[in-house]
Amino acid sequence: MTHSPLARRIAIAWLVFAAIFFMAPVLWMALQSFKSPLDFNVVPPKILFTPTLDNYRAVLGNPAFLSAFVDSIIVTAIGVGLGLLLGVPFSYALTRFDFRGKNDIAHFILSTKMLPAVVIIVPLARVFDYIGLLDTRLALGIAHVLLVLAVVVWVLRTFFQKIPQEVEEAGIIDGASWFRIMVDIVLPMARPGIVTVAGLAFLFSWNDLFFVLTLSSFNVQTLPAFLTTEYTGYLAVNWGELSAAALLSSLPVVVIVALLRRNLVSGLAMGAVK
Amino acid sequence: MLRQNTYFPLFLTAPVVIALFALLLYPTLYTFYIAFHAPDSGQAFSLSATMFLDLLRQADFWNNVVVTMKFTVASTVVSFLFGLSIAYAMEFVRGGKDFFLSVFIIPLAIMPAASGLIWRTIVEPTSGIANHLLSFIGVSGFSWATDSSTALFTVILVDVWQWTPFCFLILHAGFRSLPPDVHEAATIDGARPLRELWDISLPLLTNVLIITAIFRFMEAFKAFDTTYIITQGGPGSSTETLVLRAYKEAFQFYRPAITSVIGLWLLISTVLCTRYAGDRIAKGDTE
Repeated sequence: MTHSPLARRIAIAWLVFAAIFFMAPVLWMALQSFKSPLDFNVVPPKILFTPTLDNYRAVLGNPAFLSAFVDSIIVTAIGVGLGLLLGVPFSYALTRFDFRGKNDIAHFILSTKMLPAVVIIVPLARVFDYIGLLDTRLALGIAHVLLVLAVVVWVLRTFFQKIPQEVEEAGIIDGASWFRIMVDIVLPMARPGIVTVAGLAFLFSWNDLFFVLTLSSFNVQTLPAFLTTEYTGYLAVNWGELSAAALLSSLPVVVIVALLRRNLVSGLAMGAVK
Repeated sequence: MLRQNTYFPLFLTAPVVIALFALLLYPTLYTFYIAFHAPDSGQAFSLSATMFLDLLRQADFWNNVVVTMKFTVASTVVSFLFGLSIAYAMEFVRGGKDFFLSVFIIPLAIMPAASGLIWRTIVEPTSGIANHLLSFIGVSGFSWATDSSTALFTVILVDVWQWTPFCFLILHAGFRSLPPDVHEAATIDGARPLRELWDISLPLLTNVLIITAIFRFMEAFKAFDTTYIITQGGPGSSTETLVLRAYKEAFQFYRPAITSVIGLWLLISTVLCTRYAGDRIAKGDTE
């Protein structure tokens, strides 16, 4: 591109400012996670100090953190698993078939992303209570379907649209059933898309605070709930442990986002850009 | 479109329809039921619209509406424009694109509960780093989240931090999707970058811009995590959005009926927005 040097300099200065704004809190969190309690609540805040791994030791040795980690993994696995199990075939049906009410259902799915969960949470809690699932990982995982389904369906649509129909037509001529065509031909071809939506679904399910606060109390405590309950009072908060726990809790998503960086850009954007 | 088979699409879609009925439609209808049956007042089965309309006469409720609108509009506008500006600035970068891309998506990867807590330590009035840094430029004693005049600003700031990357990602991909000669043709004609952006790139990206704004708006409208963690709606009710109020009514004050009534008003707003958004997105999808 042939932009003027001045324009480029302004642009880069702006990007550097933005980079500092986005990065600073995370670096600060990382810095804090190596501080000992003595280095906290000092005015002015210390930038230089003797780093310690005590906070990480304390967090990783805290049974509540470990059980929250396990709860998070199980709930997210259920949420993402169910979301894909329901959403992938549905998305395929939306792209390949014409049937009555198709667009209405598609819009209805989109509305699950837009409706504030608080609208349905009281009855939902009652339903789970009625069937004896309240305060279980399964209930939370099922509720997370609401968080991930719209993303799975709408983002995956654009991946399915890119698969040439000739491939499927060849399958029909060979006499394969629709189910076989979907499982053996279409799904393998859509794998990059499925990986992308699985990553996005993971992000939404892993980060959820609202459902875990409202549908669980004692038996299930995922990481966002653990962080909130463990470190909420203003007084006597151990900021070092909090920072370490916050970083460790975000780590799985950081890894996934780093691995899927390019896919996420195209995945998130494809529906909008098309 | 391929040759049709009557039962296969049904087989693919039925589970989703059933799941949505159980998780969404039935609870929504139940919300109507609770809202109009006023169980809090003991009149278990007397259909009444009074609660629904009573709420409109409460100053608290209007305060929640105003806070929600201020938060939603400010957060949407700022993160949208910020995201747009860095997405456009990326177009001027030759090397190092990957570095900026990695940095800009960091906040997306940080759990909102975690970032809320971390921002709390940052804006802590006495020992927080934010006031310390401000003292270098001669600004002192900003109360951030603990003063009702600045608390809303603080939660908007954190929300902007968390969600600007989302806008950036979509808009960045939008700019990438433009044919490269768009910029070149403009620069050869001697157009200034901002003129080129306004006259050429943005009109081509209208649909992307609208969809980004809609998604951002809806996300901000139902925002919960950050505000809940940083201020819990306080001080007073200066940061109490409708969603936060509804949550508190049900799970802190145990008045689920009021939650349902607020929920219905939220539902009405959402349906109005969704109709527009759904049409708009479906249009972009087929274009």
